[in-house]
Amino acid sequence: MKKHDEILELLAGFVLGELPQEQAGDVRKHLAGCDKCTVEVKRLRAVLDCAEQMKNKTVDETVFISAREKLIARVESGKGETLTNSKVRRRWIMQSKVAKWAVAAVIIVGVFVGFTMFGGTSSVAWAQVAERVEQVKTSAYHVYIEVRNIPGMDTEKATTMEQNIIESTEYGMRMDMRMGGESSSTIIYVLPADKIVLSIMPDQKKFVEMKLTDELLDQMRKDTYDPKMMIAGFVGDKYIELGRKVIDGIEVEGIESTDPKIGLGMFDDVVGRAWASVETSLPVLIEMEYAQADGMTFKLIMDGFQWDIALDASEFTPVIPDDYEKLADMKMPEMPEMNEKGAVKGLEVLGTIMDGKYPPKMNMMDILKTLNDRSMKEIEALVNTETETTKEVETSKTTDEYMDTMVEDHTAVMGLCMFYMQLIQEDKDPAYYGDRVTPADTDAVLMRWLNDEEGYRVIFGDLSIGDFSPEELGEMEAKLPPLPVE
Amino acid sequence: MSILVFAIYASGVAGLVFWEIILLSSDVFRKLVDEHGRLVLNTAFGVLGDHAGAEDVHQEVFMAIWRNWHTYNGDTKWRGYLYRATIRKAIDHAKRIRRDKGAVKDLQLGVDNRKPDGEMIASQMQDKLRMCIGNLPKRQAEVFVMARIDGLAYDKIGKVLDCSAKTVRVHMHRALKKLAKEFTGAL
Repeated sequence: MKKHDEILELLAGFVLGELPQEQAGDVRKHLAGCDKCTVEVKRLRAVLDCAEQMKNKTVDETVFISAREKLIARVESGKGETLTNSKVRRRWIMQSKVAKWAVAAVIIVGVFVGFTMFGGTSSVAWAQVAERVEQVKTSAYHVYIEVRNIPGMDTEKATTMEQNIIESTEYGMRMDMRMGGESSSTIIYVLPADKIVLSIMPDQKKFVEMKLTDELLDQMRKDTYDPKMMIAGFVGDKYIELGRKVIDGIEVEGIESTDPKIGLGMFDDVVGRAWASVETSLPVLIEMEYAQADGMTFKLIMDGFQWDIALDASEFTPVIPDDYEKLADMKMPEMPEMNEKGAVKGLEVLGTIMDGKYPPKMNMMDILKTLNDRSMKEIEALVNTETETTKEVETSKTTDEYMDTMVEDHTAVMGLCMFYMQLIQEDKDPAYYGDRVTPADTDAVLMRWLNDEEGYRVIFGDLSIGDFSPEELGEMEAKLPPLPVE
Repeated sequence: MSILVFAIYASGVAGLVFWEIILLSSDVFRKLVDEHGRLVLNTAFGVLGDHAGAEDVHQEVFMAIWRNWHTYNGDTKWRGYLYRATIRKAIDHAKRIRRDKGAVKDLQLGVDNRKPDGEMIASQMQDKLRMCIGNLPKRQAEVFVMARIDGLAYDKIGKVLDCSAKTVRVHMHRALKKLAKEFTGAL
């Protein structure tokens, strides 16, 4: 017979039914003559009985739906729309910042690249402006961008973006960028000395750090000042003088260009105006307006110029609060290759994305839309990947892989489009036949342009390349497949 | 290439990366909520016995994951992870009610006229047991809830808590003894 204290120790196991038969028998015998242990057993059983009543409680489906809605709304930071089906999700995505930002970024890149391609100077006065700007070491200016009627997006509102930029040949650049309707700016630092580009998003308390490769830095060092190029670009030979007027108390002289070349193959109509101070020969206002046949318009205004201002290192020193989270630490993708190699790469990507076809027109906007559509499909496919409850869920690894591919593809396609723009700018007589040539058409001319030897460089449907005389090209183009019937 | 072109390109890429990650993450996250939300809510409801508390736990558990979304990877076994996180949060909630003396008092004195007496007393007893569970050492509370409210066997609890069934048994016995003392003493 066990002692009272020993039995007391066994009581929990006893009420839980975990004791071997012999021990349980000992406990039962002891309980018959021990009030204290009997009470303890009652206490233990009371707990178990109560817990038993709490078992198998489930919430109604309505409670789950309500909790889910609240949670998702919170995650989406009050955007309100819960994404219950692909159609809604797709609409939300198309109206989201992804698409807007991407469109804006690509257009701006195009526009600025376009600016850099203008050549020659014929006006003494405006050449002087370019020279003056070239001597500037620091500057600050404001950029306003407005895009309307972006295909596939909400046409009611304009997508706007404002940037306040400071630049220094010594420290780099800082850009405070605010999308229309955003409460705070995204701050971008380009810091050549640290070899990094930082993009800080205070609203989300997040930042992205991109490392610059030495190759990119070398490229940047070759030509690190911008307004000068813009002005040099404007001083082409196709402009009209607008005379003088006063802007913000400064007497200015202006020129206007409607040269379709600055439409960059993206826009059908373009008007550009630049106004420079009569006194200082420095720019005061630059305006660009583009319009596309499908109704999309794009306006860019650069103003608030301050030249050779005092800027110290602290203005180019990023301040990242401790509670900000580093979202990505990535190597900055190379700028798109604006050459033949880049063009082939871009065409290859597009041929794959478009299931054995090429885009019918070399139009950056349409092509960008194709890329975005593909991205959305991939997101859907990823999201809809079935996962069993006990199995792993697709998470960051897949996301990373997806992002790498997406950035790579965007870069390649941008390279192609920008190369084509460059060919237009340089009067290289480019032509593109994606509307009738596919990757299967090995001998058909897909794209061509004038090479340096007054012949033509040709990319065929299978992306092979060759040089041909104008006569040979003429023969090949005469044999192009017919346009597909709508 | 100009520095401005480069900066804009960089910002475009950064923006794209940022929003695509957010979008993609939020969709995967939504799927996670759809798949495991009921488990979280039901588990929390079992421990807390009220819808509001269960919803709070549901929000807290998933928001904690969302805030640290970038730290999770494909190796996360979500079901076990969420189950344990829910139990912990639910026990914390029970503990907070215990600390809030006003709430305890209200609970003890509150009378629900809509319920018959027996049901009301049972409900009050369950609330008391919840408070007592909240007062247990963390591991003991987890074991008790998993074993007695969710009905898991010791070996399964051991897998969730990463310990042996024998250890689970020890925690269970200790928990039961402490609860018996506090629970019946409070009656």
